[in-house]
Amino acid sequence: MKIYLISILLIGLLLASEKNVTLSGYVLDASSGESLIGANIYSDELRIGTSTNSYGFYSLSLPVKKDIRMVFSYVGYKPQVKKLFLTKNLKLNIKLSPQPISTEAIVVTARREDENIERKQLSVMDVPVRMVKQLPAILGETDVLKVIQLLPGVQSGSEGTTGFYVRGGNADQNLVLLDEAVVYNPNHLFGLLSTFNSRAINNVTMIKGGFPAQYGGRLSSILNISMKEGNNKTYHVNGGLGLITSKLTVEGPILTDKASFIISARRTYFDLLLKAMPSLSSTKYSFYDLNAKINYKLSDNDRFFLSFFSGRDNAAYIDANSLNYDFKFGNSTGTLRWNHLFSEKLFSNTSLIYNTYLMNLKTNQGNFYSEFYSQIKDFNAKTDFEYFPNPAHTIKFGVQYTQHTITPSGTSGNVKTDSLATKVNITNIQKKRAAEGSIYINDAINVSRAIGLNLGLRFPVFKINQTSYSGIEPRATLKYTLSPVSSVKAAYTVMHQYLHLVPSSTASFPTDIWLPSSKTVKPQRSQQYALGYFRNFEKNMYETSIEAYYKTMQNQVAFKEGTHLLEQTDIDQQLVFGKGWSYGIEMLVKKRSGRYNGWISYTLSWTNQQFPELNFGKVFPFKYDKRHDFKAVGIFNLNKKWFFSADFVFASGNVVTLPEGRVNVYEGGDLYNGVFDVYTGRNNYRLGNYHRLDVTATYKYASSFFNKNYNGEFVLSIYNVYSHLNPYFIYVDVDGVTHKPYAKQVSLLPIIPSISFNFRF
Amino acid sequence: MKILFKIIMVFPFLIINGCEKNIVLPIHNYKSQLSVECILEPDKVPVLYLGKTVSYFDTLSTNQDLFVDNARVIISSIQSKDTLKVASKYNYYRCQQEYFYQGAVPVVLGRVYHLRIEHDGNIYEADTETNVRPVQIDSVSYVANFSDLYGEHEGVVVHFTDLPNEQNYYRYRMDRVLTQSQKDIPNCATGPYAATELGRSVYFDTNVDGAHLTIVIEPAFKHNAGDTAHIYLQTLDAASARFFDDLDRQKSAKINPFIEPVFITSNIPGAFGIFGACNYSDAVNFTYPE
Repeated sequence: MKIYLISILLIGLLLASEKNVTLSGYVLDASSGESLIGANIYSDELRIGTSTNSYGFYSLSLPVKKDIRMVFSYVGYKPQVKKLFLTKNLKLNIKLSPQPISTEAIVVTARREDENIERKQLSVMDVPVRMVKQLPAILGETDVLKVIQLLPGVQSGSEGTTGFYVRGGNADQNLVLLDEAVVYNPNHLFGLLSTFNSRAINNVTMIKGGFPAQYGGRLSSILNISMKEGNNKTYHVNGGLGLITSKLTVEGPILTDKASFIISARRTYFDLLLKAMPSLSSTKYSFYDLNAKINYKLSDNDRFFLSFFSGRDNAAYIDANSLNYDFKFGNSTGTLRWNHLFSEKLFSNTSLIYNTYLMNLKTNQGNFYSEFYSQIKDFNAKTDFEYFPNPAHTIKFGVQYTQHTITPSGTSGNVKTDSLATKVNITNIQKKRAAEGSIYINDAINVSRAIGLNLGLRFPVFKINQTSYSGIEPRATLKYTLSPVSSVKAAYTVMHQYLHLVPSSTASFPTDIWLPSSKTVKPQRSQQYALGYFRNFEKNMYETSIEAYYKTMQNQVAFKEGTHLLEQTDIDQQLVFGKGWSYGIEMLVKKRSGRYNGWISYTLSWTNQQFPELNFGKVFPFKYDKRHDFKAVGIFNLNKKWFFSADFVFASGNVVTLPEGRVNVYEGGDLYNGVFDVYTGRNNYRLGNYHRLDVTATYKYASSFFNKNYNGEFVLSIYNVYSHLNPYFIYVDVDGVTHKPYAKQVSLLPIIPSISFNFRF
Repeated sequence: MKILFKIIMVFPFLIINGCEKNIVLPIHNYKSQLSVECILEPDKVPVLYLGKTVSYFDTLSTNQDLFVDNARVIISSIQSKDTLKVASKYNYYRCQQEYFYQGAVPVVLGRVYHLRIEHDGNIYEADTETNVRPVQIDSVSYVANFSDLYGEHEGVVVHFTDLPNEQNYYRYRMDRVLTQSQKDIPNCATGPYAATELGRSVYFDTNVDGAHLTIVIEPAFKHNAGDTAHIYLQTLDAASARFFDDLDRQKSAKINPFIEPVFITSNIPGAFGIFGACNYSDAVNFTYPE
């Protein structure tokens, strides 16, 4: 391991000594002054390039040359070509102008055309926000998580459950970052919508494998979302009116070209609609989210960002003869960041982050009452450096520290009906405090034109009470370019996870509770091997890939069979531990430009678990094991006013545990003699296949309102066009009168049409 | 505008009102097992219920449907060998005759017993030891309002001292005579009915070894002031305790959607069920005050 680390440093230092000049600066949106993340800077002649980092900064070492042609490009923007006289270091800020959507050349990716071939990373996908806004909306809301779920290797849970599942990992194994702050539950409306208001988002990147060393703390994926910074030139107001939500975004300069702000808010009026329907008066539901950000450019070398996010859901359903619930959950984050440029080659970002997550669910069905309460508060401080010594190397290193305060509890029992009074005494719940830290170094190396490497090491540590854990996480990705349009890549990563969301196998609500590692609960650990082949066709218009992966997961956590969560119970004692493994193949065919564009993906995968204390110690399929997962996404630009999009999803059903047999029991005394279930295996049944088609039609126009020009659009969406009743869960029972057994399937979402209106002044 | 308003009004209805429908589950190739229940009690002849498990959606359901009458059942110890015979009694709640196997040799405390069942060419065997000591009840009282995991209810309060220096598992039992005027008397009973109420919950002495303990049990049968009963504490061996605790937790999980399903553990290889031992405290008389 030492040799590995020293090699990274030596190679970087040796190559850093070559004679070069440095071209550096920011790539910005000319109209708003916002940083463009992932913009491409490239020299065709030298076949050298780079892309901007999360703050729009780039640095590229180039040989001394008097006449060099550099191309600056970004999706949806007019590329700029600069002829440069490079004899000394040069700072160059580039402002790219947005390009109106053309019916002839819609570029779907944010990167250079062969980025998927040349990138020294595997299993990474960028999701341009522009594309998010084009895809089918549900309830009139375009949603970044819905688009993420359409990517290969990413699966949604069943309708009504929260989270997404990547390469056989549970929902908690996804690190969801909003401006570097962890969002523990990124969902509204039981998973139907995400908490991310697409109007406040600048960039989205999804990593499923081959993780760079700057990321850690989760086993399965990183979803990195950056908020918009706000227009620093002119004021803008945009908003939208939908069937259940309205949203409004205001942005503008505080000091022209120096400081700007953006505030974006969204609220549902679902609760008001429900009040108007007497038959549904027993249902209450509302959610909101608020994004705000200020950025301030102190000097050419120093920028500050202060961002804030808060989202909250409140739901209740009270009916004497049904399942009653009262459910509240939400996240809040605050991030203060300082970008500092030490030199053209050394960039740093220092962040102070605070985030909270709260979930409180009280349910009552028949005589059974259940309450879950989970709260997390994190204070996080981190510093990251990016060092660009020469074209062959981009070295990232940094350190981070997080203080977690976790409050987990639950209670379940038999009480009188219609009582939803709180049973958990929050002040009596013992809080768990834990510290998590890490240091890392990562080097993206161009060994030759054909061979690229991404090598990293990360050292995480975790401490709670008198128990501490540490680990070593080597990360390595190899890229070998076979031809200008094809490459193969391989990756190996080790990850550790110290916070765990314990999944309940039967509850249909997001009742899962976050727990820290402890003396009893060991950290989760994964090893992932991935291999991919990438090939583009027709001058990079068509992008194809096939990736295979194998992932092992140690110290997986589950509840004991028959666990009652009691207020006074130490939840650690209700847990059992096992292992999991997942393997599969992911295929993608994507058309990146033209009037018709979109993609088709297919994932064939297996995910299994084994716990000595569950399922008689035998292997069983993971709750979200789906053998087949097919997705098709299409966007059609009819003309400058109309465009259409559609997505189709087909997936194997989730697994569920049902009794296979029945047995009469006599030794329980007169009253309790009865019929009991015989289970032969956990997750032994599979729900019916899940499939759904969604479509959207959008009409755009320009007009004026009180002499103010504005752009408007009407969006008509239909979710689940043919109203297929996808299984949510099934249950079996024996009729108390006829003694006949029966099975029932519960489905949630039939066809849902919606219309919304969006405007921008 | 009216149409738009209607669409808006219909929409939340669609969202909230999910669809529930009967479905036909694919029947897996379920292999029926023998179902065995035999809890040996000192000074009593062995009683063994022998049936079979069936596929969940099988139409067979009654004791008569499922009873296995062609097995050879032997319970033996070093000192004895008892070949059990088919016997039956009438179940007044289900209004049907129920069959079981019954031995002739009373069980002796402190012996190792071996169970052997021969059926369809297969042999099923298990052992148990009748070394379960009885615990004595100190006193029994009554509480009109008591709150616990199962809500607020009246309770019969049993005070006892745990047997020290050993792991113990207890269940509560009440024997009463129900008369025709009482609501809970079985439909088929033509006269006074001797009812046995055996508690579903199993009480473990984990972390309270040798301590003075109190358990409160919600009576299952309705009662009037002055009704009398005999109260017992049943002491179980570890295997029986686990089996009945599994049953109890499965019952809770079955009707509470927030609890993990429970797999029941058998101590008879190849079969479902339990071969265990129990003992009983002396009876304590109890009179309902209300």
